[in-house]
Amino acid sequence: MAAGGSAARVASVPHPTAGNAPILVELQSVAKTYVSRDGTEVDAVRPIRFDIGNGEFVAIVGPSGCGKSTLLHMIAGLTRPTAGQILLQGKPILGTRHDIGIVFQDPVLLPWRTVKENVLLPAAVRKSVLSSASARAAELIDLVGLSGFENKYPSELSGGMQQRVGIARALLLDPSLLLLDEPFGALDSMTREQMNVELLKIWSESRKTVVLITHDINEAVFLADRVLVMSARPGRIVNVHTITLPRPRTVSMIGSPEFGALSQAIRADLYAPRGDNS
Amino acid sequence: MSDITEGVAKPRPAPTPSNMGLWLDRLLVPVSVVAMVIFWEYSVTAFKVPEYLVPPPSAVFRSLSNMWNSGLLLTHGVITLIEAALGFVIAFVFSTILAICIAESRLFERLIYPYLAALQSMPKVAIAPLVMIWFGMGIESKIVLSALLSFFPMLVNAVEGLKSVDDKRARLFRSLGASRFQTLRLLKIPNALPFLLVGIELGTIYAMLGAIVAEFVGASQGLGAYLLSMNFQMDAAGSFALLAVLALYGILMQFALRAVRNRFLFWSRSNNHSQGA
Repeated sequence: MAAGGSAARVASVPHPTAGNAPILVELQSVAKTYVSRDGTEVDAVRPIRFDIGNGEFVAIVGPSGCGKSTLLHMIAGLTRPTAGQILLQGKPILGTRHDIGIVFQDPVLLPWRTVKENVLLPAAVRKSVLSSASARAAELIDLVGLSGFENKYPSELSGGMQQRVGIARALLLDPSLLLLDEPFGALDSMTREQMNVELLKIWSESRKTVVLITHDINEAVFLADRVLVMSARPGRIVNVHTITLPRPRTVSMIGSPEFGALSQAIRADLYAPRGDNS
Repeated sequence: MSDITEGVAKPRPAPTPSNMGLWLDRLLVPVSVVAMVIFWEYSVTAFKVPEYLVPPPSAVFRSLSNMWNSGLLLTHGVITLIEAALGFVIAFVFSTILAICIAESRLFERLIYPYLAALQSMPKVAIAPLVMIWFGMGIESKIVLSALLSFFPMLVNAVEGLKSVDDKRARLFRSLGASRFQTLRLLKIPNALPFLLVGIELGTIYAMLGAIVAEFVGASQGLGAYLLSMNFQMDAAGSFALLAVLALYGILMQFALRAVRNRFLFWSRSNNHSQGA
C-alpha cells in the first residue's frame, strides 16, 4: 500500500504551523467492514495507516462511495472502526468529543435558532460558560463574514452563508481538529471557489488541523498541504501527493502550470486501473 | 465578502394579483356569506318552511340577542368553557408526558401500545354514560370526557413530532456529544412543536365536543344542557343560535392558533433545507 511509505511526514511543506510540528492524528491500520443484510461482509475501508501533523491541511479525494466519508466519521468518533484505532494526541478516539469539530455537507442548522444561537449550540450541549462562549461566537461570526446576520434565521440565508454558520459552529469550542465532509459540495461552483478562499483565510487565522473530504480535485490542490487519493470501494489510499504550491495561496495559482500538473497527477491516480499504482 | 448580501434570501413577497383581483380575493368570502344569509332568509319565507324546522336567520339573531341580554348565554357558556379548558389542559399534560415516554423508550411503547390502540379504536362518546356514573353529574364528569376525547389527537401528533427528527440533525447532536436529555430538549421538542400545535388545534375542538356530549348525557348547566332544553321546547332558532356560538368558538380558536404559529413557529413553514436565494 502506498499509504505507509509516502505518508511519513510533511516536513518540506511550507506552512504557518507545521514544519516539524508534532503528529496530531494517527490512523493505525483503521478499517471498516459492514455486515450487509444478507450476512456477507462488505469492506468499506481497507486498513489505512496515516499520520496528520498538527496544523496540517489534509484533503482526501476519491470517487463517491469510496468510503471517504466513513473514514471521516471514524475520525470524528461517530462510527467505530472494525479494526485498528485512531489516536488523537496519542489517545484513542472512542466516541465523539468536543476537541473535534465537524462540518457536514448539508449545513444542518436548526431552523428555530438564529445564526448566533446555532453557532452557540455546542456550548449549550457542553454547558460551557455562556458569557465567554457568546463572545467567542461573535468573534467567529465575524471571522466567517456574517457580522450583522447574528439574529437572522437560517431560512433567511443563502446556502453559502448557511455553511459559514456551520463552520463557525464547528469552531466554537476551539477544537484541535476540524473535519470537513464535502462542506461545499452542494454549492454552485462560483460560491464554492469563494468559500475556498474564505476557508483558507479562516484556516490561517485559526491555525487548526483540517481534514477535508472532497470529490473536487482542484479544491483539494488549492487548499491542502497533502492530498490523499482513495480508490473506489473498498476504499484504500492509492497515493499521497504533497502540494508544494506556496502559501498564502491565491485564486490566480489555479491557472499555473504547477497547479495543473498536480491536479493532473491526482486525476491520473483516480482513473488509473485498480492496483496499478503503489 | 463584499457581495455577501447578494446571496441573502429575501422574504418572498406574496403573489400580487392585479388590483381588481386583490379586491375580489378579499371580498369573496364576506360577499358569499351575506348572499347565503339573504338567500336563506328569503327562501325560508318563500317556501313557508315552519320556524320549528328551519328558522330564518333573523329569528336566530333575535334569539341570540335575547340569550345574551338575559345573561344565560354567558353563564352556560362560561361553565362549558371551563369544563373544556380543564379537560384540554389535563389531556395536554398527560398526552405530552406520555408521548415523550413513548418516543424515548421502545420498551414502553411496546408495552403501552395495545392499550392505546384498544382505547383509541373505541368510540369514546360511548363511555359518556359510564363516566357519569363514576364522576357524577357535576362538572367533573364533563372534564373527564373532555380530557378523554382531546387526549388522543394530541398524543398521536406529539409522538409523530418527537419521532420525526431528521437523521442529519440527530447525527449532528451525536457529533456534539449531546446527552439524551439534551437531544430531547434542544432538538426533539422544538422539532415537535409544529406537530404539537396541530394536536392542540384538534384538542381544543375535541375538548369542546367532550364537554357538550357529557352535558347532553346529564347536566343542569352548560351549553350542552342549554341546547338540549332548546330542543325540548322545539325552539329551533335557539338551537341554531347556540350552534352558531359553538362554531364561533371553533373559528376563534383557529385564528388564535394561527396567530401563535405565525408568531412562534414561522420557521416551520419555510422548508428546512433552503439552499440559496
